[in-house]
Parts: sequence; C-alpha cells; structure tokens
Amino acid sequence: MRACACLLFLTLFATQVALSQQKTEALGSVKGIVRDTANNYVLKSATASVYKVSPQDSVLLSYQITNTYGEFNFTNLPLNSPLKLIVNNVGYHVLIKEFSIPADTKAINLKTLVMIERTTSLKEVVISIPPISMNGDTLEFNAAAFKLDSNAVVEDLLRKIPNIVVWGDNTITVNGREIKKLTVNGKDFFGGNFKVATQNLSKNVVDKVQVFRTAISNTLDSTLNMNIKLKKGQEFGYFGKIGAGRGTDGRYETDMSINAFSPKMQLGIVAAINNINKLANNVNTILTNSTFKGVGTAIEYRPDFSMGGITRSKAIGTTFTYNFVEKPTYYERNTLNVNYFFRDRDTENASTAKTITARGNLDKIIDDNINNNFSNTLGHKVDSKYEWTENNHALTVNQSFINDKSQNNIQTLSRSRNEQDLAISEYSGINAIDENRNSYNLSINYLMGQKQGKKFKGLSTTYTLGVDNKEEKRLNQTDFLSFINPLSTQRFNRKYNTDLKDVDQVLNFALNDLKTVFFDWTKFYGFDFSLSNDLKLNHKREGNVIEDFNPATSMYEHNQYLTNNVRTNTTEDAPALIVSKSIKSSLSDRFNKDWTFRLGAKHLFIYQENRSDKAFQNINRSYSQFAPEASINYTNRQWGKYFKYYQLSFNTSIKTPTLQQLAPLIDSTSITNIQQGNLALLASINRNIQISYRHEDQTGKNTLNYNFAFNLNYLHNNIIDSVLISDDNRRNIYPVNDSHANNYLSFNANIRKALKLKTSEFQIGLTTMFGKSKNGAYLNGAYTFSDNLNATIKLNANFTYKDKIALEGAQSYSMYSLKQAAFNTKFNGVLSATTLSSSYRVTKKITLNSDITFNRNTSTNTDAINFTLWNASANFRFLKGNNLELKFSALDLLRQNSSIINDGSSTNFTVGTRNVLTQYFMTTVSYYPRHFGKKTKR
Amino acid sequence: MKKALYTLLTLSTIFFVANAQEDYIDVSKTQTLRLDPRQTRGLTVSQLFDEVKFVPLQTTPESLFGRISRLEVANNYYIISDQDTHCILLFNLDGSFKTKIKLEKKPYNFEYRLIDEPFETKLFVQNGLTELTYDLTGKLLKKEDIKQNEFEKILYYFKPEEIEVKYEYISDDRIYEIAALKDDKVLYKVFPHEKDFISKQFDLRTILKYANTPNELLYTRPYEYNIYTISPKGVKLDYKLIFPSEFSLPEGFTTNYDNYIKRSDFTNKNRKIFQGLSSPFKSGNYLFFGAKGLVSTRGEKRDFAYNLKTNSLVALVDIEPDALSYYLPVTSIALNPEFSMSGGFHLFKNNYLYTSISTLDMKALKDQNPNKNVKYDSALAKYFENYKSTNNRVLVVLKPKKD
Repeated sequence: MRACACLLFLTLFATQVALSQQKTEALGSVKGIVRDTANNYVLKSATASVYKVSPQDSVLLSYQITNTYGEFNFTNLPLNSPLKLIVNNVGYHVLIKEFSIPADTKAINLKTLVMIERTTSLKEVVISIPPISMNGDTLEFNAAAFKLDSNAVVEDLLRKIPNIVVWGDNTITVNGREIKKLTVNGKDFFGGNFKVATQNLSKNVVDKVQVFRTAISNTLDSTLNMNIKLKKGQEFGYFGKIGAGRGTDGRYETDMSINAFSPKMQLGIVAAINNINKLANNVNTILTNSTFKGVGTAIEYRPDFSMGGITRSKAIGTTFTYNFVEKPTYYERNTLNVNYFFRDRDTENASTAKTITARGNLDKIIDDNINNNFSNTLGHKVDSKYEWTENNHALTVNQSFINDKSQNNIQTLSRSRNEQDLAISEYSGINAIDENRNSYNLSINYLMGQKQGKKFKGLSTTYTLGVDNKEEKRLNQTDFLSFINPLSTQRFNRKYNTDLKDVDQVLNFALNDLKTVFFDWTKFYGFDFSLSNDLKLNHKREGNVIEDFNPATSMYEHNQYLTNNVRTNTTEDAPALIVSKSIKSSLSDRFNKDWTFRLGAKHLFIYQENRSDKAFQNINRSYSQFAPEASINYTNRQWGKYFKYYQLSFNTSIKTPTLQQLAPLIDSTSITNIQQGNLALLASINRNIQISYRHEDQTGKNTLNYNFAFNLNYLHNNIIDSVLISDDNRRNIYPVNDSHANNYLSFNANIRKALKLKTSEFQIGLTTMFGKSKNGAYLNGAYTFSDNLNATIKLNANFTYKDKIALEGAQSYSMYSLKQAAFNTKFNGVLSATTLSSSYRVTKKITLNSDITFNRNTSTNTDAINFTLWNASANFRFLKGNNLELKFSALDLLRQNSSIINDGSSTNFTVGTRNVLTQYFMTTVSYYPRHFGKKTKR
Repeated sequence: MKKALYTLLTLSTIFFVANAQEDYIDVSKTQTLRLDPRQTRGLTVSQLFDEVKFVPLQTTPESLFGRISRLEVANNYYIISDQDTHCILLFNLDGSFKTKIKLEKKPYNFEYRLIDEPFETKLFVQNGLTELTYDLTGKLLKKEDIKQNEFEKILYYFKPEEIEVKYEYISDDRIYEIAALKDDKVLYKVFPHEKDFISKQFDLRTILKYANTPNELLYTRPYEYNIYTISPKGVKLDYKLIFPSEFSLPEGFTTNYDNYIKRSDFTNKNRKIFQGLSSPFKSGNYLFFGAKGLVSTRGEKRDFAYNLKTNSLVALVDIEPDALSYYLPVTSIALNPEFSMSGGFHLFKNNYLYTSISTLDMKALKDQNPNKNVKYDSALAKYFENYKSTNNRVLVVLKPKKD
C-alpha cells in the first residue's frame, strides 16, 4: 500500500512538473524557408537554430535541419522575448535574424530567408558554429556551440542537446533511439562503460559528438552508436579520484582511481580499502564509480546493508589497453587489453537460524543453529584479451590466471528437538580450511568469414583450455551427542589433505552454410546445412591423505580407508548435423517477415574412466544419447511501427553421475549429512523448451518496449536424494534416479515505458520473475514431491528533471511457497521492499541524497519482521575546478537494519537472521585530479 | 548457374583488359562536357516538365505489391513486375487494378518483356528455366521448359532491325561487355575482358535498361564518366564528362585498385567521389544521368539533368515543386539520397518519364508541404483521405520539356 502511495506520488509529481512547465511558458512558433536565390533553389539540409537573447548570454532553445521544402518550423518558443535565428549551410554565409513572437498572433512567418554563397575570395569571420550538422550519414553535434560551465563534463553537454536524453538509468537516447555503444575517438574507453567517458571527460576537450548507425550483418541489425571526437591535441589526458573517509564505530573507506590515456594507449590504476561491505571484484567497478560527475543515485558500488556479515576489504588493480591500430574500423582492429586485480578480504559472519524438517508421519525435527564463520581471502587475477581482425579473418585470444589463498574457520552448533520440544541431539563442529588454488584459462577463437565469390562460406573454431590446481588442508572436529540413543554419540577429530588437479580441453569446430559447397545455390532454395563437432577432454586427479586424532597417543594417525588417489578421464564428443530452412516474406517499405526453422541431429558420446587406489572405485562407464535440437525463429518488422521477435527452441542434454555419487568413500564425520553411493545410477536426461518474445517500439517517441521468456526443463531419471533420518537427526543420503518426472518452469518478463516531457524524463518499468518446480525426494523410504513456487515482481519509476532532481521509487515483492503433498506440509515466505531514492542538486557545488527502504518479511510459523533502512548524504564541492569534494553521510539513520534468512529446500525450511552492517556516520574527503590535452610549455 | 554467377558479379570487382580484339568505337562526334556539381541551377517543376500526373495504384488484398522492379506501359496498361510477391500486375491508366499474373516462386528474380511487336499485346516471361507467354488479360498462352537461361543477358532489342544487344558475350576466349547479334550472327562486339573477370570483378552498370529512345540506347561503364550510344550500326562515344577533381577518381584507378577490398576501402574514405555514371537518357535538349557513389546525406546532388543547349546543370533534388505538381516533389530524391535504391526512374517511353514514390514518403511529403491549402486532384485527394501506411506506391508520370 505504502509502495503504491510512493509511486502514485512520483507519477503525480512528474505530471505536475510537466503541466507547470507548460503553464509558465506560453508557446509561440516561427517558420521560414531557406533559399539560394542566386541559383534558384531551396536548401534542404541547412541547420536552423533558435537562441534566446539575454544581455549576458544566448541560450540555445532548439535546432532543426530544414526539410525537403527548405522549411523550418519551430514551436514551443517563448512569446514577446528577444530571439535569434542562426542558419548555417556548408558553402554559404551564416544568416542571423533577430525577431520576437508577438503575444497576440503567437506565430511569426519569416518567409524566404536568402542565403548567400560563399566565394573563395571573400574571407569570412566565423560568427557562430552550427550546433548540429550532417556529415555523410553521421549526425554531428559541435560541442563549441553549447555554452556550459567550465567544469562541465560530456554528460552535461549531452543534456543540453535537444533530442538527446540521458535517462535516469544512464541510458542515452537520440530521437528516442537507444545508444548501444559509446566510443571515444572510435575506440572503447576504459572498458566501454558509458559513464567513464561521459562523466569524466571535460566538455571543453570535445570537438564533436557523432551519432551514426552501424550495420552488423544487414540493415535490420543496425545499432545506433555514439562517438565522442576529441579536439586535436586533446587525445591525451588523465583523470581520477583519491578519497578517504572516517566514520563512527571504527568505519573507514579509501578509494583511488587514476587513469591516463593517449591516442593508442589507456592505463588505469585503482585501489580501495574499507570495512563497510563495499566490495569490488574488478577494476571496472571502482573505475566506473569514481567519476568526476559523481555517482548520483547509482547503487552498484555502495555499502551493502543487505549483505550478511562484516567484511574488511583491500583491493588494488590496474588495467592497460593498447590499440595497435590507432583508428580501428569494423574490418581492421588490433587491440590488447591486460588487467590485474588483487583483493584481500576478512569477513566475519554470524547467524542464528531455525530449520524445520518434515518427516512424513513422524515428528518434525526442529534444529536451532548458530553459525560463526571467519574467513580471509587473498586473490590475484591477471587476465588479458587480444583481438585481431583483418578483412575476413578474426582472432580472439582470452587468457586468465587466478591465484586464491583462503582461510576459513566455521563453527557450527546445532541443537535438535522434536515437536514436543524435547531435545533429541546436539551437533557441534569446527571446520578450519586452508586452501590454495591456481587456475589458468585460455580460449582461442578463430573465425574465417565468407570470401567474395567463393563457394566455401567460412568456418569457426574455438579451443578452450582450463587448468585448475587446488591444494586444501582441512581440520574437522565434530561432536555428536544423541539424547535418545547414547550409543550413537560420536566424536571426530580428522585432518584432510587434498590435492586436486583438473585439466579441461574443449574444441568446437563448425562448418557453416555448406549447401553451396556441394550444390548449385539455386537448389533446395531456402535450405542450408552445417556440420559441427564439440570435443571435450577432461583429466582429473585427486589425492586425499586423511588422518584421525588418536586420544590415546595424542597423535594424528593415517586413515587407511579415506586416504586415496583417484584419476578420472572423461571424453565427450558431440557431432551434429544441422539443417535449416528459412522463409522470408517482405513487402518493400512496408514489412519484413522472416521464419527460420532449424533441426539438429546431435549425438552425445561420453566415456568416463576412473582409476583409484580402492578397487571398488575402478569404474568405467560409457553413455550414448541421441540429443536432438530444434528451433523456430520468427521476426516481424513493420516499418516505422515495431519490431517483434519470437523464438521457440528445444534441446536435450544429459548429466552423468560422478564417482562421488556412484562409489564414494563414506566419511562418517558428516553425521548430519553422510553421503552414500549408488552403483546403479543412470545418467539423467534434461529436455529443455524455451519460448521468448520481444517487442521493440520503432516509433521513436515515448516508447513502450517489452519482452518475456518461458523456460521449461523436463528431467527424466533425475538424480535425487533419498534421505534416511534417524530419530536423533543422523542423516544418510543416497543418490537415486527418480522414475517420476521432475520439472522446472520459469518465466520472466520486462516492460518499460519512457516518457519525455519538456524538461524532464519519466520512465516506468516492471520486471517479474516466476519459477515453479516439482522435485522428487525420498524421506525414510517414503516418496514425496515437493512443489516449489517463487515469484518476484519489481515495479520502478524513475524521474529526472534536467540534472537537478533525480527521483526513483521502487516496489519489490518476492514470495516463495513450498508444499510436500505426501506429508501435508506447507511453508511460505514473503519479502517486500519499498524504496524511495532522491538526489537534489541544490547548486553547482552542493548535492543532497536520500534513500529510504521499508522492508517487510513474513513467513510461516514466525512473526513478521519489519525494518526501515534510511541512508542520507550531503556533498560539497570546492576549488575552481570542483576538484575537491567533502561528503557527510549518515547510514542506517533509524538503526533498524537487519538481514533475514528465509529459505527452503525440498525437505526443509529455514528462518533466521545474520549479523549485518548497522548505523554509522562518515565524513569523506575526495580529490579529483584531471587534466586533458598536452601540457603547454610556458 | 549463370544466373548465380551474375548475382556474384554484383558482389565482385571489375577488371579491365586493354589491347583486346574489339570493334571500333566511333569517337568522331564526341563532345566533352565540363560539369561542376557545386554550380547547379534550380528549376521549378513546370520549367522542366509539361505534364505531371500522380497515379495512386489501387491497393486491394489482390493488388498489393512491394516495389516496381520493371514498369512497362502498353495498350492502356501499366504493367509492373514485383519480385516481393512474385507477380506481374496490370493497372489501368487511372491506377485501378486490372489483373495480375502470379508466378511460381523461384530462388532468383523473374524477367519479362513485351513482345508481339509493334502491337505489344503479349508478355514474354522467363521464370528460372521456364518460359511463359501471356496475353494482357493474364491468360497463359504458352509454357516451355528450357535448359539454359539466357534471357537476362539481353540488354536491348532493336525492334525494326530485329537486333539483340547482349552483354557479357563470350567469344574467342574473351568476354565482351556488349555485342550486337542478328540471327545469332555477331554484328559487332566491344569492351573485351579476360575470361576470369566474372569471378573477380564488380559490375556497377545500371544503365536505364528500358529507355525506349528509338534505335538508340545510352550506355555507361563503371569507373569512367563516358556516355556511349549503342545503335544497330555500332557504338559511339557521345559525351565525355569531366568533373572537378574532388569528385573524380584518380588516374589509373582500375589498375591501382584492382580488387574489391582496395576499392571499397578507397570509396569508403572518399565518399564524395563519383564511381561512374548511371541511368543516362536524353529528352529534347536535356541529358539526364546519375552519378554513382556512396550517397548518404539528404539533399546531396547525385542525379542531374544537363541542358545541352544552354549548358546549365540542374540537380534533380533542387527541382522545386509548384502548382503543376500540387506543390509536391515529383521524385522522392529529397527523402532518399540514393534515388536508384528507392526505385529511380522506371521507364522513359514515348516522351513520358515514369518514377514512383512509396506510401511512407508520400505521407512525409504531404505533411511537410508548406502550401497547406493546395487542392489536389480527385485521385490524390482520395488517396490522402483514405491514407494507409500499407498502400501501394504512387506512380508519377512526367513529360519532360523539349527545350
């Protein structure tokens, strides 16, 4: 209810702003025709711009390109105020005409405006630069024509250009069409995120903003791109942020991002240290959230108040890109990108939870759990990407090397009771894990495109290599105390040393469009076929050395049973023949409709070989499964109206049982979770059907776009758990094939409506996800289906007024329900959150932000938990270049934050709470160093 | 297969070979014209045309078609071939639908021409390897399967002399761009190429294939600015056009840029340069022609009419609408910079010139028409009144002035 009120408020507010804009400014119009009278024709692509004249400055109100009749026609202009029309056309003198629109007629006709051709003998002083011009098929906006504050960035410039909209969600549209890619001088700028370029680059270094369409394979796939062309000599520069903050409760944060670029090279160095759950997993996260313009209402890199535990994090990283081709094109590019990222994290996690397990006719078991977890992770990651394209050859090489060292200390205490509240058992465990992991991944992709006039239409091949090496040392101390059967009381103190090596190689090879190799292109019209083969080779080696503590000798002794070495080789091959048929129907200038039918005959061959010190694990298995694929695609483009895309696809995959499921070494220490084996296990077969639909508005104004997708998985012989629970909560788990059908159905939908008002933008969106699954399980021999349902709906509305006010209202609602018909049990939980975020730029130097989220959690058998999280901040900018920022933030003002565990699986249901970040106040000082262009020598 | 090669032709590059055995090209009366596309004069519609008529082609579920791939006018019918619906449609001169011939869908385009000279009462259709003859009521008169498709290689047919002009004519291990034949006997052959040129060149010829200037056909070649006349007697070089250097290809272009990638790279970087001429035809004192190239800007001057008497150059994009055309432009050039892509001129026959405008363009031109009080004729008024974005194209019939 509260959510609806918030959204209603936002909608009313937006409408009110729009109406008041119309009321305060009476509207007038001006028209005219631009003509070259000497040569006797009208000028069809002349630029006409209208400025409001004031003693201090002229403000651009609107611009137009003259139409096929040489005419311009401006509406929505102020009455009775001095205006100026400037007309530009290549090869002509600039024409300036001052006028004002009388209030009584509300319209003025300037009739024929005569343009005079520029001759080479006459030198002209350029009085003004046209704000917009057409250069070939590129629309160009000249930055110099827009007067802005000296500290303005590209985003401020874009906001000044009529018909370009920077929306609340950072999407950029030009005449209603979304920009899909933004480049600087034709190249990706520090990873390609728009914000890095638009919120850092100074408006003063920009020569032009260029907007153009690129066709990927045909005009229907063309996308709208934006390129920021820098002024000559300004292709060099640096920018970044250095900031540090200190807060109450021992909270601190430090962020650093220093970046430099030249025509061929980009280099960035980032670092972040904090204890406020503000986590970055890569260089880009820090880079995109350290922009000069400021983060606004963006939420991707902020203290995470919903995250469980408190994390102290240190991170440092660097990114380097080198373009061997200074001006890359679609046909020629050669780029190397290398990144390094290091992170060091300490996390303290504490949780208390209650788990209820149904046992059919028997009593339910209720566990009260207390978990404490301390972990430290040190991770290094180096990755690189090399792209080379020349004519019809393309090569991409991706590499990554990761080293992770982690230490984990998990303490668990669990007390189990029955429905009569009588204690039945107690489990306590300490797990101390030291892990050292090195992994290397390589992927090479080569694509040979079609050569002019050749029968052979090209090939594509991908090779990937993954090498993983993990060394783990684990100490497990377990006490199990049974109050029902004192004989089953057990105590373990066991050490595990695991050495795991895994080498994975995949080779995909495809020969496409083979028809013309064998037949005349006119034969079997619309049909085509391709051959592909996916070969996977996996070699895994696992060595385990297990030692048990002997209290008598106070020594750890070798555990002969669990100590083991296993080698597993798996070969998977999937040859496929794909036949496709396309049917096209089009009516020029009216519509294009395309149907594509694909039918693939694929066969999976899998051979698995296990060699172990334990003879019973020497198992060889082979699987063979016909895995057909089929799909139908339909696209319908109605010119000037909409584009619709439908897809229906079907495919088959199999999941083979692992050695761990077939014949494991049974570790008795996991008393509440003893995994047993089953040699009779078969592979499970998954048949998947997907249906999707997408609607794209092509009208270009106040667009409505939506899409939805269904995904159905139907599992045959699904491997499920058969759980045997003793009265004192000891559990033995056997994997078994389910002879009943298991299935998963999911649905998601997105709807987005955008409204461009005169000086503001309003967007409303609805996202929904729905999942339903039916899983089987055995509990003490009794078979049960568990019907699970989960759904999430999120409605959000976004309002921006110039760059002064940004408001976002969101309502999310998620629920799940779990039903075990055989045991007549049912659990459900509901989580709802209403958020109202606002950002108000009081002056050019002061910004206020506030975020309030009202949370409500309800679940079966527990009381509702409600809390409100309110964060607020005030930012002040200092110095001439606004380079210094002082920020005061108050987080969790109401001191109500909490983190809820509300979870269910096929056999049980858990509710509880975790430790989270709570109220603190912080003062942060940041400095934004920035300079563009070569330094001039004095 | 040959059709396939022809299609590939349009995707490859051309390669000229000099000093081949070829017939004489008459250059005795060649005129050199120096033209500057930056120095054009504007004319109104009524200064260039005597008559203008907009003929909305009736739209019914039966008569719906995509675009006009070939137009013929004969015996009071507009005859239109449409490759989108694979149909030949016949409309009366008022635009009302008469009948249509639905052809079997084949992987490539079908072709047709009027036969039964000089009465033009029959349609000869080649659809793949099937030849069909229809009368103008749409009745099938004859059907025959053939082994090889040669139809498309006939460029022109001189009726009284019964001479066929063929292109890509193979003889003496060479391919001749143009050859004239009578009763399968070669009268003359010109512009020879090495035999493998088909697999490595790109044909940019878009001559106005269906211009009916009696006993004359104007012809242009890629990457040059010459206009030739093909007649039963031979080939004449009539006009040698010279443009300012910023519009001209560099010397030795075809030898220095001898493959597709080099050429497309050059033309992409030099978008202003004309890559050749297209669709030439002569009407009275006017020589009409298009300049080929990568056009993309609205209002760009690429299609011209040159007055051979006054030596003034008119860009078709600058022809100003006036009362004769109800203040509507008579072509869609102003909206579609690439005129030939939006249909161009379909036919010039018996002193009438035919083009067409798509329904979306008609709407845009009407909405932009500054003369809001214009009174359209009844056909146009009815068309705009019952406007639908799915309507058929509107045919524009123009009669160019003689002087």
